[in-house]
Amino acid sequence: MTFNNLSTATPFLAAFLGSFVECVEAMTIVLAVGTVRGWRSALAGLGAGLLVLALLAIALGPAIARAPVALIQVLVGVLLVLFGMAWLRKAILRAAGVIALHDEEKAFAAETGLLRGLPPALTGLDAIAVATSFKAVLLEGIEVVFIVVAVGVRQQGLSAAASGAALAAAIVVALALVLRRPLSLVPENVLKFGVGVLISAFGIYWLGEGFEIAWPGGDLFILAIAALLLALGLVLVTLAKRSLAAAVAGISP
Amino acid sequence: MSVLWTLAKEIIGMFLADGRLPVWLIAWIAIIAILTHAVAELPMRGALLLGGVMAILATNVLSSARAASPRRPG
Repeated sequence: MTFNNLSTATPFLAAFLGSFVECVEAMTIVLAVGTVRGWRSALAGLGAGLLVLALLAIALGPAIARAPVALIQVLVGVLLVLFGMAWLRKAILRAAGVIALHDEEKAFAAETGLLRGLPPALTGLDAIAVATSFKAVLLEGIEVVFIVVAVGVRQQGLSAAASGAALAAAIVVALALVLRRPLSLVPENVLKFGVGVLISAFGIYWLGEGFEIAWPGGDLFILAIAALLLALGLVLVTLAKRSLAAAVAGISP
Repeated sequence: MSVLWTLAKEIIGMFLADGRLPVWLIAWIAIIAILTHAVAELPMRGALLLGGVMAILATNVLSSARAASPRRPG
């Protein structure tokens, strides 16, 4: 795939990284379901989830394309800022040690433990397994659909964002099929940090466009916003670590 | 029905999961929108938007870090 300019490269990257994180989380549940309750039911749930997500994406894309541009820029901008800032905040607090890192091995163990305690299926497809797999794919996938539609809001960007998400999903599924265990080595918090920065930068940029702010350098200013947010995020990790260390030192005898 | 409820909670949680952060962000964006309509040639609107969002994030992260720090006993 080649990128003509920044307006296709950045949606691809943002969608790829964001989708990778969400696909890893969904795949952990599907792997747990497949391991404990059987692969046929786990894959049936996965397929049903993907089908609903595809229908959602097909419905959302054209609806957004038909709406007034300024309205979409403000609406999508607000949602991207809220979504991106939530990810960035959580990633900063996790990097600083204020809240615990997400652990795929732990999530896998918790899910398999839960599924083992439930009654087995009597015949055919296992309804519990299908529902668990379906719900995981749908819930994590909705975030993927939102990221793809929001960062690719311009016509040119939508196919780039969709390609990024599809590539991420393909890599995660391939790795899961080969390894048959949770992808715990993926640096999930680093990815979430990067996606939080990129998505927030897109959101602020779209909002500005919606408010008819003339950003210096046009699309290139997305990178400047991202660089500022990244710098702020790294400074905040250090400050939050210091705050935590000072508090711990303060209560030590 | 419970799947739909879980789905609705998840979608809302995507945007509003972090307490006061979304409230402050929406308030700041609304202020910029009002200023944009009220003052035709408001200078530095982009800097105001970006600076405000960054200040809100910084305040929220630092107050969360302070709130999560272990308290002195007694």
